[in-house]
Amino acid sequence: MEQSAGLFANYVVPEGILDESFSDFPSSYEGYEYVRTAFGGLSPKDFKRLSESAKLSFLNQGITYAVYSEEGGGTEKVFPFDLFPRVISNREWTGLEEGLLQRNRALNLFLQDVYSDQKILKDKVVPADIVNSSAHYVKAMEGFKPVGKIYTHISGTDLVRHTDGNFYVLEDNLRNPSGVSYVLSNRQAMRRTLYEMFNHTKVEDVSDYPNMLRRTLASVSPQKGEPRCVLLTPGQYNSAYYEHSLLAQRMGIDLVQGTDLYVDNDTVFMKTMYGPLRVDVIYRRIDDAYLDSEMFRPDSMLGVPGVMRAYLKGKVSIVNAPGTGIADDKAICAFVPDMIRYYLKQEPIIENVQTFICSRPKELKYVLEHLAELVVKPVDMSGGYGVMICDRLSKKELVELADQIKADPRNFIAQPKIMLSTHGTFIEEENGFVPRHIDLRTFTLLGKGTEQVLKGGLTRVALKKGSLIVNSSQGGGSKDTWVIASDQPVDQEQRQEQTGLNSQGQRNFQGETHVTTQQQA
Amino acid sequence: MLARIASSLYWTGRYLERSEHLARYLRVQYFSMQDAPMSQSREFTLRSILNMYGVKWTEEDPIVEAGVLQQVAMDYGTPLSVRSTIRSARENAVALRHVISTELWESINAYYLYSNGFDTEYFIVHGLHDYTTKAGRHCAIIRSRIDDTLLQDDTWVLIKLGIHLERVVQVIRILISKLRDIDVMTDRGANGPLRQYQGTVILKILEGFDMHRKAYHQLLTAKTTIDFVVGHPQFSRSVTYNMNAVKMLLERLDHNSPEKNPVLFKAGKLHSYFRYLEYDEISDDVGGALSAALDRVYALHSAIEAKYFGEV
Repeated sequence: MEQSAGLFANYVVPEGILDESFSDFPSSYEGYEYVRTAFGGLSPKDFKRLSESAKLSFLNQGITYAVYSEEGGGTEKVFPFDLFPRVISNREWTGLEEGLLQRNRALNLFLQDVYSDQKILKDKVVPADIVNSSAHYVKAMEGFKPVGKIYTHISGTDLVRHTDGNFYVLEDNLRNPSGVSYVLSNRQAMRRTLYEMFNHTKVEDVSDYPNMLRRTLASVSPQKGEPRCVLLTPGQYNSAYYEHSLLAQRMGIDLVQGTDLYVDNDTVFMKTMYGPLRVDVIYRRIDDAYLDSEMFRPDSMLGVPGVMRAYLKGKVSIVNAPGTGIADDKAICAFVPDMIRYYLKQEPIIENVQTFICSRPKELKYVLEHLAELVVKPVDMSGGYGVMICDRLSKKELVELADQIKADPRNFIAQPKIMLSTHGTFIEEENGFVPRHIDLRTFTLLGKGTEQVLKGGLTRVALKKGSLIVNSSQGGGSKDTWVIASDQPVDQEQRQEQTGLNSQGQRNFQGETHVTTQQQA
Repeated sequence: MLARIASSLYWTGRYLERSEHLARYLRVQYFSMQDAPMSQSREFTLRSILNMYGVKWTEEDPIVEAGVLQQVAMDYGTPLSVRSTIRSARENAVALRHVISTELWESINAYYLYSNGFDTEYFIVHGLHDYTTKAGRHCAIIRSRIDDTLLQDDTWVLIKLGIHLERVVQVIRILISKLRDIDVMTDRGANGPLRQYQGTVILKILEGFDMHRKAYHQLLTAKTTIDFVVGHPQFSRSVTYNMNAVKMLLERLDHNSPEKNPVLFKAGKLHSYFRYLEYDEISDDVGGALSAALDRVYALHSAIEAKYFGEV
């Protein structure tokens, strides 16, 4: 398919690829035409000006990373952001939201079960050896029940759309899923730059996420009354520090480092100007290994010695619970549909990408025989690191990879190569829009008596031509993700209501202005 | 408030204020070299500038103007360079993003981006006036953001405390530096007008030249200059004015505690010393008296750190 309008001139959807901005597929958003027309009608000069304006917005907000030079100075760089939004219809999102809640409920029940009765292992629905051999299993959690029996308060579920038009789960992130600050900041940049478009398209708001998160944290406080929640960060040199800072600010809670907290009499306190204050809930953004030098890595300077003691005595809540990493092991991911059937007696709403567990001899044999067609991933790495897209490897590299898998099969899974959908993305060197592969990170919150999915998410873009790796650490960018509030087109009357300028209101406003003028006279 | 955050607020205020003084000092000192009485003393002035920014030098070192300007303004290797100071202000502010307003954060970040992106070569040849003047404007915007967009609670108090204490330090340092210049000129047999001109430079560095004239209705003398810069209670860059602000801000942090607060005691004594300082009593060695007073200001800073930012 070839397009021929403005910035979309010469836009070619590659054969065999589903392009979300141009292909027809069953769940595509009917109003996409308006968004396409609005962008396609821009001249390259105007688009670049808008892009620069958005970039400046990120720069001024400090959503940057520094590239240091030998002279000691540094240049502030902005993570690549593409203005052309990814749009998901209300109808499709409703189904996704149900599916995400279903999946994360099941994962939470799995963690509860694994750290107590282990019924699912005894019933051989999930192989015990995969759980027992996980580097993220925390023995101290055995028999412990966190407040509200919630382990995975915040989950980041990565979805990809296949050529059949359906979303599939690529992986779960249940330890410290990051990226939500980009969802908030991307939307802010879009609203500052392309405000007119929001008058024509009703988009679900994402700015309430910090309040949703705050409510989730407060719901799991071990104490009655107004809880003191804090966000524990490794510090300002951590790559996600901006996110930690933004969330703490928007939630109105303290952003603490390990050295700001201490444990006395199994209670966590923070050091303030006027003395110690008790802490009830810790939203930690550091990994288990660094959380408590008394229990995990003794050399950790980032955590709080004794915090696990306080936690296991029920004096403080830790969000997400320690030990959740066993459930986002990529080998476990393959069993989530079985968990849904086992715990919820339901069929999974969102399917998994098919996964081969290399520690299972039959599946290992298949993987080794079909290696060149598969994507191989280490089970406990994130950020796109270690991912091998095998049809791009040389024969020698394939042999080396096969040897690595055979030497430690537990460390690998394999998946068929999913041709991620593409989306029109402005590439400077091409001076126009070209298709680039995308995925979607969603955010689900589970609290005591509360569960919510953020209506939107982080659309990550692989900026290199043909690349399937979307992670920002591997040269990826991002886009705003619009979940349409209603699939009905916004008519004239609704538009006026949104801008506060319906005909009656306009007369009133002018009337008030007139009165004011009279009073001043 | 977390003790670490309190410390970062205080230091953000100190570095912001420091950067403005260092930028303004450089502009006035550098361009004073081009005025008639000073034009014969370029090398002397450049060495004086190096002293102010803590750059070590020896008589044998050749003095290269471009190198001096780069070191004191643009060089991140010089801890007291204007750029280093702005970067330190921003590094402290990064830790505060969640407790200060977005507007204040963005104004501090914009200040850093402006300074960091300024071309060094251009600065040396044409940009000194532009860079240092805009640094002042950025600081003015930041101060308005502090006053207009923060709650006037402990957050505001601590950042203002840093600003006013740093202003006391910088004004005294500038005075000491210029008094030292006058001593050297006297030893070299420099003429009276040249020494007299240093008073003008001091007042211009502090942007107090016009208000001094308004306050005294006469040509400046050593006595009026010191009285104005140290003791005038209404000149907002005087030592007295700022030490009074420090005292009042510390009183707010004290929350009327019934216990005696040694930090407040130190600040009160210092304020009284500057307010009622008689020029005639120190005229034999003004520089020595100010150096001793500066040590007491540093001791006050240490006491603030120990009481409010130390370990509990």
